[in-house]
Amino acid sequence: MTTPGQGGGLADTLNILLDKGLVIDASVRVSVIGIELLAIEARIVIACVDTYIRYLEAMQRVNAQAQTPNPGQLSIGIGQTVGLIPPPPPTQAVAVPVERTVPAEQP
Amino acid sequence: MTLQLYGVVRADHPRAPRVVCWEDLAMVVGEAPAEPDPARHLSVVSALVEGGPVLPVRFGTVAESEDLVRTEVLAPAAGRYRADLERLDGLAEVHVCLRFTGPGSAWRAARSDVLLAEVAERAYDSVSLPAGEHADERWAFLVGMGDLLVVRDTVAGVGHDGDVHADWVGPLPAYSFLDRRSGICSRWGW
Repeated sequence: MTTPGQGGGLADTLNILLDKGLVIDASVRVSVIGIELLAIEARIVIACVDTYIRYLEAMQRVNAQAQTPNPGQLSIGIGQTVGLIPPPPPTQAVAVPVERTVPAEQP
Repeated sequence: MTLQLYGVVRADHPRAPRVVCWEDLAMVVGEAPAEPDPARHLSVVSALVEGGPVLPVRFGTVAESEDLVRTEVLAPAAGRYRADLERLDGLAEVHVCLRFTGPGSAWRAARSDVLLAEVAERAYDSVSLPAGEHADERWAFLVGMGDLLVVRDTVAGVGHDGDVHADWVGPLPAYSFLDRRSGICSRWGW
């Protein structure tokens, strides 16, 4: 990738593009190991760094469940295909090691 | 093993490091990292652009097996993927960022129209993006791979104008044009 400038253009590009891309089965409710873990019910609208934060939280929840085998229950729905992002959790993430780079001015 | 999904390409894509193929389509995959790395994700999908069209999957999408990629991701939407790969063949997205030293948003918008007209003339499509922290105007252009160097030089020339600093990032997958199949209309009149 070519990034000639030093003005932080790539960082902003990254923030912008994180919200884009093909959404795989965004209308399907996803279950993992029989427990409804991620519910993605509508078009996902997320903002830049929030995407990353929620992704971290979602992955942490997935990993936690994966470490608790439950062979008696089967996956349903789309299987184990997980398209982020779950709705914002009620608790605020405070330990995510990223800088907030949300644009200062939004249209 | 959990697979990170990067993007849909044609099965004969020459730059794809690891793929799950289904008929003439392939999903570029990798082992899901222990910690999500958005910069690496963008790097992987951008590296694919020069080898052929790529439909980037939204960051953070994972699947538990290759079979699921085939049956739940590629097969159900194969027709749409083929059409989009054909539509975007030979094209890439380029972001152009402008930072002005002069005041006034209206003045800036008018100024960017003039400054970027030459790039826009070569582009198949364009869309305004959120400016971000480091720019006053940011545009995504869909340009032919053969025009990348011309666009780069044009943007470099804009940056010498004195009252504006111009920057660009590319080539990128056509993130901003995945859903723009018809009714294209930009500020430059098409």
